Amino acid sequence: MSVREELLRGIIRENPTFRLVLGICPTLAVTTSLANALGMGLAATFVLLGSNAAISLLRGFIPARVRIPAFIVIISTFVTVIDLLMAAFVPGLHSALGIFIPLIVVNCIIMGRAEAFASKAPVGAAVIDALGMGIGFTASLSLIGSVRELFGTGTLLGFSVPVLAESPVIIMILPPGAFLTMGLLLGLINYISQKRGP
Amino acid sequence: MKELLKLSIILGLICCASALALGSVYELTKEPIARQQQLKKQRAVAAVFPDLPLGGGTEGSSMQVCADDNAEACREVFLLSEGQRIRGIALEAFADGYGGPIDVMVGLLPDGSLSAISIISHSETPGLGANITKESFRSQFSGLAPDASAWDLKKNGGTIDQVSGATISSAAVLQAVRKQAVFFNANRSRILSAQAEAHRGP
Repeated sequence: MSVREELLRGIIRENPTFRLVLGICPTLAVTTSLANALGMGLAATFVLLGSNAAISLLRGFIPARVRIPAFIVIISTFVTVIDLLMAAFVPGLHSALGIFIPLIVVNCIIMGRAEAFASKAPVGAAVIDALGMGIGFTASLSLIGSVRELFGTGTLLGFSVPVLAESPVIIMILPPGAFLTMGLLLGLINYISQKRGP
Repeated sequence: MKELLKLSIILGLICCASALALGSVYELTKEPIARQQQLKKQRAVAAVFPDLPLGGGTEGSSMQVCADDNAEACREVFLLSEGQRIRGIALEAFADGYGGPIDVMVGLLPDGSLSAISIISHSETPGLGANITKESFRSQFSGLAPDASAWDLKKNGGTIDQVSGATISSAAVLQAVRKQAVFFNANRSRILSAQAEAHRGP
């Protein structure tokens, strides 16, 4: 598979949110605004890049029997690094994302890519896989975040949007809005992909 | 046995490497994080006293005050003065809100009456409890008389109109504010004289 195809695989064909439906807990929780969604997506992408590269490099060194604890140590190291960096340099975003930054550790996308891909592939492929999955995750979060922010607060990235800002539908930024948006988008994407054939 | 030893050593090595990495990132970010927290507090103090400078710059602008008999009841008190006179006292308060802790900065005047409050952080429901950050709710606290025990929500016979649909959030903020005011009134002379001594110092 070419590099371009590998990248597109994570973004479209095996999109973590809409096709694999992985990592839904942070997806539903942090997508109250586009800025939060972007921040979460980029943080997860950073962790994914780091963990995929490290695990791929160490794949001959880590014995199969202790691979899960080894992966968790590596992943949580990268998560703590991004947590500290964000607290130091983007404190606003850090407090908005709150507990969901440390919880990237248990994000199944990262564990899933480590187990299913990085532990069996050379570094280059693992990095490209991480990039594709990361971009796919960030794009999906941003899509959900944009819809929820637009209808829930009538703004986009904090800028007021005419018409929508007059009567925001608060439920869209509350937990039910996350399920509604996620469900409708998932349905729409399934509909489109079915029409185009397998 | 040999297999077990090998597994432990490899896992141990991975842990050591990650501990080393974490240690160096922690060292690198320690100062910026402390600076951000300091800034956040200063901004919060400035929000309740917008036109007063923090006395003594960033250092020495706050002091620890402890209630007489309880070592755990210590609070950080920010003092704002103009020349030799103390013009305002700011205390940070934490309340148990509906969705999590609410962090409130309380601004008091030297006579114990309330100047202003500002919500530093909260996780209340958007559109309901989150309205505690609105000016219309917060401004009701400004100018409350020194007798903190009389501060209450309207439904309990007080003067504070609660945020509609958010009794828990409103009551939590009120409780926290009242606690800080009572604390200040109980330790008022000590807090004010400590500042005077600091000014007389060398």
